[in-house]
Amino acid sequence: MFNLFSALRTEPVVTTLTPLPGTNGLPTQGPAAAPKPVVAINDVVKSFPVGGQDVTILKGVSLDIHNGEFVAIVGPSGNGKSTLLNMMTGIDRPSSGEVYVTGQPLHAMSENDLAVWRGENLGIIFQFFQMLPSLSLAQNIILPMEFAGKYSRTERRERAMDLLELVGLADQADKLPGMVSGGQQQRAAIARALANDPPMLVGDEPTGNLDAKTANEVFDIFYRLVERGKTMVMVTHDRELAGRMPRVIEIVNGRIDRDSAQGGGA
Amino acid sequence: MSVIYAKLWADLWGNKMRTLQIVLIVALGALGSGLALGARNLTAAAISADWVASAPPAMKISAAPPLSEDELLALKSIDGVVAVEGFAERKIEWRHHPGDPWQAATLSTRVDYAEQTMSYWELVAGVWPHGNDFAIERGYDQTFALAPGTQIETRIDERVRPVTITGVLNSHEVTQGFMADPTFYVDHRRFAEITGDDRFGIVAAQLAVHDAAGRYDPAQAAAIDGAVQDRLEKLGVDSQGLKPAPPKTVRVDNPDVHFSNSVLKSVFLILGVIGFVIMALGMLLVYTNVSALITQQVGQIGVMKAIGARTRQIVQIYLMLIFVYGVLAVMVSVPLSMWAANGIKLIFLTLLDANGRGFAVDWRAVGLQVVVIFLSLLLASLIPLAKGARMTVREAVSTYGLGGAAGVFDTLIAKLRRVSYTVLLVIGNTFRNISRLTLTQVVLVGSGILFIAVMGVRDAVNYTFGPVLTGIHDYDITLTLQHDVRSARVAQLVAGRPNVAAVETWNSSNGSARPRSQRDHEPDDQRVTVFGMPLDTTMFAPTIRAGRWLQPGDDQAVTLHDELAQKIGVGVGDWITLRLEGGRSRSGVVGTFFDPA
Repeated sequence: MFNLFSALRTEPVVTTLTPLPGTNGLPTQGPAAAPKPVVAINDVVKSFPVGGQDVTILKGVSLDIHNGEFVAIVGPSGNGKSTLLNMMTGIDRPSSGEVYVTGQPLHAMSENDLAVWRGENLGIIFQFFQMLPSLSLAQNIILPMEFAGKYSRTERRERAMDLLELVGLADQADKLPGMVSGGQQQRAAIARALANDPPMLVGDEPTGNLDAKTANEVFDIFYRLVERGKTMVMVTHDRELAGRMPRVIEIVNGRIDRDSAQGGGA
Repeated sequence: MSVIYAKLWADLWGNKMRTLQIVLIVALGALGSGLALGARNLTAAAISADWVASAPPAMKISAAPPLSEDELLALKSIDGVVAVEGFAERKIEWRHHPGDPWQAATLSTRVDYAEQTMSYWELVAGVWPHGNDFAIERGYDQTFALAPGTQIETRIDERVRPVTITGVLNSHEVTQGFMADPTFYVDHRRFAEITGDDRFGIVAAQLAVHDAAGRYDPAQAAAIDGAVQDRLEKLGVDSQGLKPAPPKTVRVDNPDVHFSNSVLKSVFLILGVIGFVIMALGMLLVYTNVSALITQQVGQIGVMKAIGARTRQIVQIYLMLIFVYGVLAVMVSVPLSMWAANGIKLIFLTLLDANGRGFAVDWRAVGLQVVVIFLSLLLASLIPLAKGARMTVREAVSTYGLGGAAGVFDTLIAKLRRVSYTVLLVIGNTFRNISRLTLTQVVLVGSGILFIAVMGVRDAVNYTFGPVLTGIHDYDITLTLQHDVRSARVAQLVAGRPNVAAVETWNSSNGSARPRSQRDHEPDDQRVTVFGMPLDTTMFAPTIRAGRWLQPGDDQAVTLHDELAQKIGVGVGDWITLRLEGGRSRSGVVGTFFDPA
């Protein structure tokens, strides 16, 4: 469907990882060691104060996600899926436990450092697209590059057009988000997530606001990105889409109820 | 163009009404300060330059009877008197055409128009008055259609003469703002012919009143004035101060300072205070607007952080926005304030008949305005900007799920029962953000206070210069006689004129006053004017501050202006020594009064 993947990094990104602490049974160093996980979550607990009391959403979650994996996080509403994803993006901090992503200890980083790290290493795709309404689709894609200070001005524009071409929106580049459909906005959001060529993409219900046909198109894009070496983690309610992913983690009542990588089956 | 600049432009242009609102609030807030300072500086500079250029005398007094040219020149021999020049004026009547009603006017002259040594009269149009021709004071030529070339009739001592207006003069002291009747000028020879008197009833003198540092020395001025007054008393001449020093006239004053200086200072002080309050209230509005802007853009801030924006970059974006607001506010505020400041300057210069009416820019006021605009924007933006920049991505983008504790107020509202949900919604929305509510109330109350204060000052001024002043001095016309005349004769003459409802005759004499405890006369004794008036006067009703007004049966009793009583250091029950032309007398103070005139 889409043929322009030249803008994307094709090499695995494990070389950028820094050594992880020797927890969770992970090897710490040595050429013979197993590949380090892109995401390493260790015994994470997350509570929120509600009405004067703490409500615990994540109750000691631990998991690893490796480079190139395509992971679905599923589960009933209010059981901690999005909260777990927020731990991986640094949008939320654990009440206790540790979160390492691309080798960085997100639980210990400042908000500013997290922003810089996200700009370089992570592409986030929101359920409601979250495009800046006053900028065109192309400008929305250029913005992360400007924040990160990557590429020259000319290269940014060329790259934005390449990425829009990738998601089939090159002809809509100069339109404002409000002038295109939800599916097109989500595709543009994917292009934006790829702007700085991050090794990992996360999506919080990225197809939840789309019709079935458009959701399938977006999913196909994710699939091809993973084929090109990206790591993709996606929260979804869609059992059918989740069933098409190699790894499915089910969160129930704040705990991992099932992880297909651990032999739980998909 | 950088995408960040594109966002900036889109935020400005896409929210035109909000941009306009913020720009106008800031511009109008700063306008007050720029206007007050600009109007003050421009007006003061123009008036001062015009005033100093006219070489104003330090002394200006009336002389009754008038002085001859020799007597006038003799005053130059007094220590401290640098130059003396004589002026004369009298009331005349004029009309445009035979059959028109007669109107009052003043006819003025000086020794020699070509040899003016002080208090320069400036030729504005036409030619200097010569022969039978008159000139007219600037402003009145427009008001009364008396441009050069106009022929009028004058009536002086019942004799009617045709006169041609051939020039327009600016005397720097006579203005339409203070005198409704026109002033005509004529050369001295002609003045003497038509009035039958070649003497000078007005004496202007330049005095050595500056100390070594060039500052005005009021003690020195008073000492010279005392010597002049002594000389005139020896000649049997009564003199009164004619230098305007609102709300009164004085004999000597600082020649370097325009007589309206103190009044202008007060006006611009009030204007400055109002400007400051407007600016302070404007800052609160800017704060609420920038807060609203940040709140509106919280989601975007979160997204920008999620895609890699550092806190510094977020702050930069919004500082740029604030900067653009500032630039736009400067573009609105500075021209507006300079235009208004020049308008105010023009009003005062016209009122005072001063030159320097061209458009001018006061760069100090412009500088102040620019600083005020950017500083107020920055100060008002600091808190909301810091809040926005510190906001976490989760706080910014989360639209659902658990995210934080509800506020105490919302928790309390949620517990209310048997109250309509609509009412709860209204209460919740009104009181949820206490700081915003407080700011809104402060702005509303502050604006209300300012409005009431301005209205209050206006009413107080109207009352003071209306009922209070006219209540104290309840008469329409004052005639000052150059020679002593029997009171009954004058009263009879005046009462016989049409539409005269009542007449009173007062006497006055100049002298000095000292407390009785001070045995001997000293040169710096307080100069006073003593008025003698009927005990049952209906035309003078001062506000009694202490004691009482004069009563039948009072012997050797005086009432003093409370300001004079303070200067002399006496009060009700004390005795003072008055030194007048007729000699010394002791009087008991039975009351003190307030009279702003």
